[in-house]
Amino acid sequence: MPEPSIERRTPLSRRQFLQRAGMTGIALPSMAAILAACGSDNGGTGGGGTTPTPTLALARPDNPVTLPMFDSNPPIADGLSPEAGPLRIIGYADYIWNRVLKKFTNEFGAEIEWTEYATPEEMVREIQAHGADFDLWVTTTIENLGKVATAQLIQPLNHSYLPNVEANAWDGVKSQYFDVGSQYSVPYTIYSTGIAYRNDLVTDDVAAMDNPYDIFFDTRYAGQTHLLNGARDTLSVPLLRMGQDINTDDPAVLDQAKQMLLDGVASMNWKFDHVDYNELNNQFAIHHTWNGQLTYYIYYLPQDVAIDQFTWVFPPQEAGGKAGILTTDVFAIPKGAKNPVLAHAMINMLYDADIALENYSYEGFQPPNKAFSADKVVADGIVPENLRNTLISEDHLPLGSNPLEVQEYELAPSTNQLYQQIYTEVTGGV
Amino acid sequence: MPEGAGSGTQGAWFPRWFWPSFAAPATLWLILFFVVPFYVILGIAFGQLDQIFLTPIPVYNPLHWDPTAFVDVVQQFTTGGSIYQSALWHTLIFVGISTLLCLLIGYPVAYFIARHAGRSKTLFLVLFIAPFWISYMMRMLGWMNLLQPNGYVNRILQSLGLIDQPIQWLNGKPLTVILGLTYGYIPYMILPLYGTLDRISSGTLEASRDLGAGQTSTFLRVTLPLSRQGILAGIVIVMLPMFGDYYTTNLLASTRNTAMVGTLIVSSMGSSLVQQGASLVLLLLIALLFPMLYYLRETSRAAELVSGA
Repeated sequence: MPEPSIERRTPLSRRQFLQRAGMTGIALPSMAAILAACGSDNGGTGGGGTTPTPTLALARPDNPVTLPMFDSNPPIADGLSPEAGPLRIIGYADYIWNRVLKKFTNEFGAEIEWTEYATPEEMVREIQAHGADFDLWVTTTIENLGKVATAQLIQPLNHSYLPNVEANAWDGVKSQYFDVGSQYSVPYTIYSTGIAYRNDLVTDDVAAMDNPYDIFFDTRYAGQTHLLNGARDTLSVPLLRMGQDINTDDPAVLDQAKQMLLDGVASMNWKFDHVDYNELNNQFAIHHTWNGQLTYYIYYLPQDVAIDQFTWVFPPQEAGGKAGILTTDVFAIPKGAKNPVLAHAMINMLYDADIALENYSYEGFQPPNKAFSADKVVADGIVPENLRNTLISEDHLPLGSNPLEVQEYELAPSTNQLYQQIYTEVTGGV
Repeated sequence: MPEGAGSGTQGAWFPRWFWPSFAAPATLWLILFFVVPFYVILGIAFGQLDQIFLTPIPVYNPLHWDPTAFVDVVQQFTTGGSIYQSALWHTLIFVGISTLLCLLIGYPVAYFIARHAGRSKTLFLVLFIAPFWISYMMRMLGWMNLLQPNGYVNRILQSLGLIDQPIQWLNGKPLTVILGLTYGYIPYMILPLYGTLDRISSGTLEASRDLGAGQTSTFLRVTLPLSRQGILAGIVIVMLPMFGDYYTTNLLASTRNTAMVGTLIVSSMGSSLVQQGASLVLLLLIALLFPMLYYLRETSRAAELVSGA
C-alpha cells in the first residue's frame, strides 16, 4: 500500500509559512522589476487572470498555473511558410538523433546548428543573454519554465503548426499543471529516476526492500555506487530516503539531507556522474540514474557483460511504496527566434509516429506518443525484456496525479541557491 | 649594435614606432583575450545576482562593487572541513606530488635524450612529442579503459601474481588522479629540460672532468646547477595548468575525496554559484602569481649573470 508521505500534502507549519512568505517577498518585487525592464505589459498570473504586473507563480499539481500571455510577445501567425534556416537548436548533446536531424534538413532544406550545454542553468543563462540566437530549446525543464515564460524569454506556441502533437501526444501531457493549455511548451520526453544495479554484483533484491534508497548507503558496495550529478537529483536521494518532499524549502530538512549525504560520502565514496559507456565497463554495481540511460546500455556493454545483468528499480512501483521522480523535458521556442516556423516544424516532426519511434531507438528517452508501445519496442529489441519496467505507460499521467510520482518543481530563488550550495559542499563540484 | 636599438633610437632607417609596433598584435591579443575577460570576471565576482534567474549581473564600476561573495569564498577557505578547504588541500597535494613525479621521471629522460641518444635524438624527441597529437581528453579516456577493473593494468598485475582481485583504480583514488596528472603533463616537463640540458656545452663537462670531478660530482656540481632554469621552467609550465585542471579528476575519480579547486570553479560556472566561481578564479590567479613572479625573478637574475659574464 503506498504511503502518501509527501510533505507538500501536509499543512504548512507556522515556521514554513513564514519562510515561504519571506522568500516570495524577495522574489516577486525583483521579478516585477525584471519584467518592467523587459518592457512587459498586460501580463497574467497563475490561474489565468490578468493583472498589470505579472508575478511568478510556482506551479504545483495542486496549484496549476496558466502562464501569462503578453501583447508584446504573441505567438507567430497562422499559415506562414518555413524559413530558410538554419534551425538553431540549444540543448543537451545528442538529444535528437542525427539521422532525424538529417531527415528534417532533407524535408525542409534547412541546416541544423546545435549548441550544446551540460546543465539547465547554463541554458537558462544563455537564453537570457542571447535567446534570439536560437530557434528551438530542446531541454527546458519544469523548474525553469515558469520563470522563462513570465520574463518573456520564450514565445507562446502556435498549435496550428503542431497537428502531430494534437493527433499523437498522450492526452495526459496536453495540458499540464506547470503550463495549463500548453501555451508555451510541449513535452519532448517523459522519464523516471530510479536505481539501476548489476544483479550479478548485488545479491539483494532491491525491489523488495522496504526502502530501496537504502541500497545507496550499503557499505558493502562502497566505491561501486554512483549518484547522479546535479543539485536537484543528488539531493533527491536523501530526501526520498527520508520520505520528504524533494522540493522542500525547510532548512532543517535540507540540513538533514546534507548530513546524510556527507555521511554517505565518507562511508560510500560515491562517484557523482551519469553513467555512460565508459563507466559501463564494470565500474559500477549500483547507480542512481534515469530510465532512459538503461535503454542504450545494450549498445555499449563490455564483452563479458550481458544486458540481463542489469536490473531497474523505480521505487513507486515496488513493494516499499516509496516516492520517486517521474518527470518531463519540454520543447520551447525562445522569444525573438528567427526561424520560429521551422522550430514548430521540428517539434511537429518529432511527434510523427514513425519519427518518434526512430528517434527513441537511438535516444533512449521515451516520447509521450500514442504510437509508442512497450510491447513493440521490446519485440523490436530496442528494450530488452528484463528492462521492460523502465518503460512508462500513459496511465502514469497526468504528472502529479500520483503522489508517489513526484517532479522537481520550480523553487523560490533562495531555496534554489541553497540546493546548489549543499550540492557543491557534498560533491566538491566533480 | 642591435639593429632595433640603433635604428629605433636614431631613426636612421625606420620611424621610432616601427619596432615597438611589432608587439601590437600580441598586445591586442592580450587586451582582448586576457585583460577584458579578466575585468568581466572581476565584474561578476563583485557584481550582483539576478534574484529570479540567479544569473550574474556584472558590475563594472569599482565604486559599486559588492565584495560579499568574494569574502564568503575567502571565509570558506579558512573554515575547517569545508569543501573549499578540502579542495585546496587536495589541489596542493595532487599538484605537488605530480609535479615532483614529472621532474623525477622527466629529468632522466631529458638527460638521456640530450646527452646519450646520439643520432636517435630526433626520433626520441618525436616519440615524446607524439602524445601531443592526441587530445588530453582522449588520453585520459584511454586511461579509463586501461584502469577499469578488467582493463589491461589489472590483467597484467593479476597475471604477474601481484594482486588477487582487480584494484578499483577508478573509484575515487587520489593515487589515480596523481598518476593521471603526471602522465598528462610530463611532456611539458621534458621539453624545457631537454632544451636546457642540450645547451650545456660538452666542453664545460669535459673541463669538470679534467679538473678531477667524477661523473656524479660533475652532474651535481655542473650539470644540475646549469639546468636549474630548465627545471624551474618545467615546474612552472607543468604546475600552472595543473592547478586549474578539473577534467583529470572528473574523468578518473569524480568523488568528493578527489575534488580540486578546478572542479569547484567549473561546477560553479555551470550552476547558480557563478559569483563564487569567479571569486575562485581570482583567488587562484592571485595564488599562482607568486610562483610565476618567483620564476620571472630567477630567470631575470640568470640573464643578468649571463650578460654580466
